[in-house]
Amino acid sequence: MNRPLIELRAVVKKFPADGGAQVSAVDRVSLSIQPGESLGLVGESGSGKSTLGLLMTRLTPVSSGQIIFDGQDITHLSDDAMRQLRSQIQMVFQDPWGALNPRMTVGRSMAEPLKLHTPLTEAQRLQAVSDLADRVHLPKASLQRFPHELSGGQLQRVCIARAIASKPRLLVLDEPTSSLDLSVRAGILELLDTIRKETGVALLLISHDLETVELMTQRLLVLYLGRVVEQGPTREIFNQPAHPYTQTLMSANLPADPTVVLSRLPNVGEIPSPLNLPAGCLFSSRCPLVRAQCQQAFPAFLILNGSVAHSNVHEVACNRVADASHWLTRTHQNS
Amino acid sequence: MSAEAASPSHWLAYPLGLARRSPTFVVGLGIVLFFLGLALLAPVIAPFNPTQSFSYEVLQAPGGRFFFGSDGNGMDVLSRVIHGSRYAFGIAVPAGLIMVGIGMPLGLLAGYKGGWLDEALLRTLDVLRAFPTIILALAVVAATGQSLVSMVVVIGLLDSPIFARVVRAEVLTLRSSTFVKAAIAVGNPSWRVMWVHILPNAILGATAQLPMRMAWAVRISATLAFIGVGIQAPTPEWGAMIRQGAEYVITGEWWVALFPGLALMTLVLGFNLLGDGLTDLLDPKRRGVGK
Amino acid sequence: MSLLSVEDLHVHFIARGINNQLRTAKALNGVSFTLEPGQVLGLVGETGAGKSLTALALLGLLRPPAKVVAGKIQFEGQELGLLDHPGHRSPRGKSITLIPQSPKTSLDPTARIGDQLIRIQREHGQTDTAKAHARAIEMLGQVQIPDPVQRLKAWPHELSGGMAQRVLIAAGLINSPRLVIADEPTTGLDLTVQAEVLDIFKRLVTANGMSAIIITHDLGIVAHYCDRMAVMFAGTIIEEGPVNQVFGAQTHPYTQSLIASTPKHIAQHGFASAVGSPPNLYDLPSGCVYKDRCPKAQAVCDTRLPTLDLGPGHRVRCHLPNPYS
Repeated sequence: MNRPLIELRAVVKKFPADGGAQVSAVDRVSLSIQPGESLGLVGESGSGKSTLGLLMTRLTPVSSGQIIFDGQDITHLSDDAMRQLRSQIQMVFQDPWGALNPRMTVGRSMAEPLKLHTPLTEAQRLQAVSDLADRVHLPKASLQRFPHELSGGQLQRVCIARAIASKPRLLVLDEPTSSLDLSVRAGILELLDTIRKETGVALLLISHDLETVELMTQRLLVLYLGRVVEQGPTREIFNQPAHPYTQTLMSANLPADPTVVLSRLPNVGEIPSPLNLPAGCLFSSRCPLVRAQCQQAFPAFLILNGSVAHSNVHEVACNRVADASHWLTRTHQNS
Repeated sequence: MSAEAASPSHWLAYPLGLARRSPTFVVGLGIVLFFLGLALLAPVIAPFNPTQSFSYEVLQAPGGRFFFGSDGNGMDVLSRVIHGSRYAFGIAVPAGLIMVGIGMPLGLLAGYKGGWLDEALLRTLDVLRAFPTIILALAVVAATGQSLVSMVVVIGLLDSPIFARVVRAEVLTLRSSTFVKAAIAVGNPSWRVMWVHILPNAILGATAQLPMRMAWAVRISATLAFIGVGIQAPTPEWGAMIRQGAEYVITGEWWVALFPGLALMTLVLGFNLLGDGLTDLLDPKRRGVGK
Repeated sequence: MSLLSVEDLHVHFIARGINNQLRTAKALNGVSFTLEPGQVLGLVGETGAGKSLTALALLGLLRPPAKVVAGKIQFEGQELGLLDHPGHRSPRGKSITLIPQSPKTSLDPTARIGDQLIRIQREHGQTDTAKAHARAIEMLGQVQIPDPVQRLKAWPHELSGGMAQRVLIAAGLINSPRLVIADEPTTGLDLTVQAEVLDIFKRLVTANGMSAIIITHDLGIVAHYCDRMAVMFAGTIIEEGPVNQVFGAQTHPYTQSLIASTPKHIAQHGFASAVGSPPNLYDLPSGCVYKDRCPKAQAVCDTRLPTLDLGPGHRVRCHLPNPYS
């Protein structure tokens, strides 16, 4: 197995909450991304997926755990050293309007990473920005405009261009299409796909939209209340979601096709407050298959397919995998 | 989302558009510019030398030679009022510059870095809030000698923490915005984040405060002069003029105090309206143009 | 007679630009559709298509700078006033209700849930407080909020997003309207909560024989919760019909483009060609509003849009319809 591009080892992020308590937005999450791989992070509110994105780019410090980038422990790297490394790890945010300095032309915003990380002259930077605009299909006239003058789709292209300018090896995308119109989303996804194929950059796609993740990623992590409950090849997880939460999540998806018959899983209540987590398995308060054992400790990961030596292992944190009793019965429902 | 509308077809179109969106701004600007004009053109438009004393025409009522009348020293009130605007701006503008020069970096650092600097600023503000500023100004100016320069410096210094607080508030809001996170993510060092990303955006919100502070500067310098500290007669400063005129109100010579008083009031109003209007214009971004 | 009939609605917005010139945004350009009792219509479109505006028109909530330039709306045989006049007796709130977006901000933060539910009933003629109270409990039960009696005393900020949305549904249905309009009812909700909320909504609407209009940009919601759908673009309904037929035939190029943008479609058929920029409501082209983005545009598209009938209740506004199989 190759050395992973980036590895998170038992990363924890706590936030102070009312009354002096601490909430774990991310709790002992371990993951790794191979060079050129696209990994998806899926989860609902409180899952910690956005926090993971911030942790990975060190925009917020970890409470405990380690981040290893290309073999180097960057968990507590100094701000100065981290700055240089930032050319390698870039981020695209959910809100394209908010992610750009409103007082800078988009051309200048795109040139910034070049100014910070490369020795190019001003003229060379102008040329590079022009090339970037071509690559992301942005009309050159837009470069002189300010963010408020462009549409959401164009702005997201600007953000992507800015993110790839320094030729990073890892691109973290936090809900890159959620704020955009339907017809614009496809264009952005296509752009990201092209970029990955052309440059070999690794992608971390954080999203709540299952179909987007299914299309764009090779491997998938399912998060629930800050912990990983299932991870493995995307294809496998979508074909046969193993964890009861994953099964519930997938069954709630509404495909844009009225001929698809929905197979619904029974109503399982709402996500508990992070201040009031269930004991043991975090899903135990809602799981139809819960047993006494589930409330004693968070289940260990059990492997369904593949082996740990290979990065495409499919593992699930559920006590019922051992005796294959982890399948929820579905009720078919006509729309 | 299209680009901005095409250029106006008539030269009045833009000012009219502005007037529609914020009449307050236009009126305020008009007043301030009027007095600025007076200040700049004073030697040309004032009918008399402001300190020229016509000993035989003391306390003349308005009309005739002296449009606003003459004061107790036989000096033309109109000319003195016109020249008074020089002092008003002569104090407000340098004091404003000091205020920005100190307050802006102070607010920026305090807001971005926090720490002891922020604490120090907040405590200073607490002291200023508890202390009547007039007394403080009075004490300092009286102690440092009653000159124009000391007035300017004191007012500028007193204004700085207040301006710094406004800048600090803007910076705090901006610090948690996405584009600042993005700027850090791209690899900007702290100083660039502050200088290139936060400052230009913080200035906008703070700019509206500037005219308010200038209004205060004008008012307080007049107040100090009125009390008897700082500039004194025969210098044609409005506060000093009102001080002199106050004595004559009882005996019926109302014009000596009224005209400088009106001028003072109008200019301060003008600055306040300007500040208000600026807030209007800057706050809901381009409302009415539509997207 | 249809329950609701919208005929050729044209709404313009008139504003002054920064250079003091008048600019007119043509927000609705000839919107027409009908709704029968008991039907659920999905109104789909992107930002600026005019879906929320249509809802406002239905509720009689249009205010200047909006100007109704043409068209009328008939509800239960009576013509509706479209502009908001004080003292204007509109069926809004009683026969036609709205379930707004963002539940957390749509509820009054200074009143308890129970009080708000009772207030809504009193505003539309219910004078007996005890009955209103009982009805509020009944509605909370119907939207499956546990322990309704206790919940009446809750404050809006104490509710989760999903619960708040359900309270809004209860509020929208409490006066037994004939038509409910749900504006993006699942924005901001988690996937699992969304499914539940929609299930509850559909069940209640069907059980009570109401009609509903669901405004959404999510094709999945339309596919599984609506009987009919109307696709909007630049203030025009470009295709309208039974859900199965519209998805199946995808006659209008815009409908095709929308469906082709869904990840599922991309997974099967690859990425479609690039889309143009959003329509500029201040400067719409003559003839077909979609022609600047349409891959099939020809000279005839410069002329006025036709309305072609493709089958029972299935209409499309295109010169060159091309059923996609």
